[in-house]
Amino acid sequence: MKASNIRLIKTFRIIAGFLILIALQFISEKILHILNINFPPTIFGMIIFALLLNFKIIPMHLVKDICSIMISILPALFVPLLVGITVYYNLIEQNLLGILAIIVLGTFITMIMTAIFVDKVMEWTGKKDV
Amino acid sequence: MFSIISIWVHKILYFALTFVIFYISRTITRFKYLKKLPPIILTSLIIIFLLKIFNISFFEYNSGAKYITYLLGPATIALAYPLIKNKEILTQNKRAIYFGFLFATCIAIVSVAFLGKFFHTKLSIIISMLPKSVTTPIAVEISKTIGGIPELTACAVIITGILGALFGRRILKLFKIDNDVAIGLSIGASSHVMGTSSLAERKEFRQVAISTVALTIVAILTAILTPALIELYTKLNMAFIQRL
Repeated sequence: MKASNIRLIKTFRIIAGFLILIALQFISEKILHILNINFPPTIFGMIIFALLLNFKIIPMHLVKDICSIMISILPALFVPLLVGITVYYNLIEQNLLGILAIIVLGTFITMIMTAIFVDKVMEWTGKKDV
Repeated sequence: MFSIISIWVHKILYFALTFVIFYISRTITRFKYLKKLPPIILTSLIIIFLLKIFNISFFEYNSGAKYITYLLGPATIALAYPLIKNKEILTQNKRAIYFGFLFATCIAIVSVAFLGKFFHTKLSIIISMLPKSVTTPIAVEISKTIGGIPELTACAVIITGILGALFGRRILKLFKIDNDVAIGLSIGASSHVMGTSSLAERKEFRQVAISTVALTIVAILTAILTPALIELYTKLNMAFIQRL
């Protein structure tokens, strides 16, 4: 196959995949709105997409490229939120120490204890590969 | 007429600039001396600095940047791909995983409550931070339901995400956890999408798979359990006071 043909197909897959993702976001927003359910459309869309992929309604190879791209730029998408924290600096600076302590300690406690818990349960049920 | 064009040019500028600076940051941090600095932090600092010296308000920057935040939706949806690609990891360790979700949810809520009391933090602040380990839109929803300050919740969620993304894997390595399931589940449950994206950066897609499920299920469980636990605590408190 010609190299330019391959590139064309790949570009088409990326565009089609992107449209699928946008459509999923839009559709999940609409469904939740119509059913008047208070649930984040992002997670709902992810579940729908997972089901569509799982039952081969959407072929995996079609969305492989766009998903890799989107996941690779995922950190960049958080930048506006991080920059936005500066707006609320006044709100947090009064209780800064307490807030930071809670966030830092709380996050690490949660993460470490959960990891140890899961690790131990897997050991006890003998499912862990040694 | 010109002002409309100018507004749109600004929007596109802020949108594109963010990505440009992100790619520059990613290239810069590949150098030996700056390897420890995550591109996302460097990007944010550069942009904050630029906004300050050019005296651009965040509101103006966000007029273009909000389209980037909109892309978070499809990008989070895209996480379903590594999830399905690695789905066998979920069927292999059912007990550890399901109990792990429940455990993570409870620890997340209870740890915030205890630490808040320990540091004598204002009640409204503690309440705002209870849902901090779930992804931002859900956390803000929960916060509004239980009477917290949504903006504070959003800040707490973002800082939590950054912590997990930056230090999660390293800390777990310190505790000698090298189990894919444990790593993925704990990072997804505590630092949601940001933590998961840090796993994806390392191409650990088995961990990404379980992390994605973790952040979803823990979010749902937290939405259910937080109001319930608050009520339980209030009832226990009242019973205790009556006893006195």
